[in-house]
Amino acid sequence: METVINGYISQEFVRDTALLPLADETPLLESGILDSLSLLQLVVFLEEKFGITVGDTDLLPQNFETVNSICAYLRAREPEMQNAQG
Amino acid sequence: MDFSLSAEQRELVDAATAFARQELGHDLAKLEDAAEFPRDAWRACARFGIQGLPVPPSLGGAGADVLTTTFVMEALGYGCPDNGLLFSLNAQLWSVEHPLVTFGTLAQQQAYLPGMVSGDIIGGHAMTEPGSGSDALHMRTRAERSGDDYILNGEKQFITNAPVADVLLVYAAVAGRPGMAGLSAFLVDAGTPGLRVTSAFEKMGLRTSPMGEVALTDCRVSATARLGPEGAGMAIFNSSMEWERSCLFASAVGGMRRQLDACVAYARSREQFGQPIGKFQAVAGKLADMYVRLEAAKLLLYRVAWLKQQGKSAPAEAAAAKLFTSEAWVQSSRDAIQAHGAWGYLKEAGIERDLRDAIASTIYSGTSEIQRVIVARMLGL
Ligand SMILES: Cc1cc2nc3c(=O)[nH]c(=O)nc-3n(C[C@H](O)[C@H](O)[C@H](O)COP(=O)(O)OP(=O)(O)OC[C@H]3O[C@@H](n4cnc5c(N)ncnc54)[C@H](O)[C@@H]3O)c2cc1C
Repeated sequence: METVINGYISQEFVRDTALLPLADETPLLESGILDSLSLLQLVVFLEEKFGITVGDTDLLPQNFETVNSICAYLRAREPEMQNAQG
Repeated sequence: MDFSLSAEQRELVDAATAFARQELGHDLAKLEDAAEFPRDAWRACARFGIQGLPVPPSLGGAGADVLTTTFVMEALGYGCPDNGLLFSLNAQLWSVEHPLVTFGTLAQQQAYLPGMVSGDIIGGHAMTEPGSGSDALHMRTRAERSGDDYILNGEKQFITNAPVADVLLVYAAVAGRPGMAGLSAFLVDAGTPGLRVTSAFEKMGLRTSPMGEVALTDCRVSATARLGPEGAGMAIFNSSMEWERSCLFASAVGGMRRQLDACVAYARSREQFGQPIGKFQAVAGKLADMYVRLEAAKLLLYRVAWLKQQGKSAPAEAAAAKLFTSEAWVQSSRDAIQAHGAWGYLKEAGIERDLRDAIASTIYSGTSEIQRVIVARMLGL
């Protein structure tokens, strides 16, 4: 999961190549890698890739602060992901 | 996706159309001239149940789903020529009530929603600032924590309903938390010391929808006035905008249908060169184009409403629907004037008003240019 998400963010949103390879703990919002629009693009990607729905109340900075926090958020949704796959 | 109306929805839509025709839009020319907010019509809407549409039954509302709400707002746009009233209603529904329903604590919901449903409490949302319009998140307004309170300082402008609002949902950045992490929203009651609503702006259209400026000077609010957690501002704003971009614009779709009906009736009855003007291909073609735009806008909006109903994020779809519908609303309003000739240009015909009102729709809820930016970004550009 970390590899998929890190890969997507690195390819789509990292403009400054000095930040590559991207660490899973790099602050994405504070560093400006994710802005309000790229966050929405990422949400659409996560919904499609992992078969979840990211509710309005989940779009909180703490869920998207780093690759690790995105993965933690997704892992908490694992039952939903399994249902979508099953 | 099936957008056919159930028997229950059909009944509601018919009732909303009849209600709008009979009870709304009275004395509109006079109200417009005076830029007066139609408080009686606002209360009538509350009695009909408009302000209660997205509110759960436990708080006095109807708990209607997104598609049903979209159909009803379209019916209002069809039956009621007072676009200003509809705009004010929509501003409260999607930018204040909806956030309260989605992010509010029970105490916040109980404090505001029953009063909004009954028409006694009016709300507005205050995001835009002198230095941040399209770039809304780069605001200057600050919220500084002070014990159990926050102290708000800043300025907001172009705020719909502000001059008549009992409560404003004010967006501010919490001091010391950078970027989106600090962006938060606060429910600020009218009359709170340090909150000042100034000059109602004089607008070219939507004249019955009051708009004002908001100044916050050491305005102290309790931490219980914060909607959602600290940092939820982006989520709240984004959620409001996606809903607004489907439901608010349903009223514009209703307005386009009203215009088309009027144009068809006029083109069948007005004769020139010995025949109804609708027999001239140039006129008929214009009306056919109005129909095509109306149907396309309707489908785009219904699809966004359907996606939202499935709980899906729909940033590109909502932006495309907003962009297309607002531009179509302007074009349809121009065509309606053209089809009516000089009569359409006269104030007393009540046709030119739609054009003045429609132009704003390409600016509020994010300009047309910004919708293109969103679509392009979602395309990966
Ligand atoms: C009738 C009406 C009601 C409103 N009600 C409210 C309300 O209730 N609450 C609230 O908070 N705000 C409200 N607004 C404000 C509205 O949200 C802003 O007007 C809007 O976001 C645009 O900001 P601006 O007017 O400062 O224009 P600016 O952002 O200064 O834009 C000026 C021009 O530059 C273009 N532009 C800017 N950035 C870009 C870019 N990146 N790419 C391409 N073009 C760009 C814009 O499209 C526009 O054409 C209302 C506005 C109107 C007209």
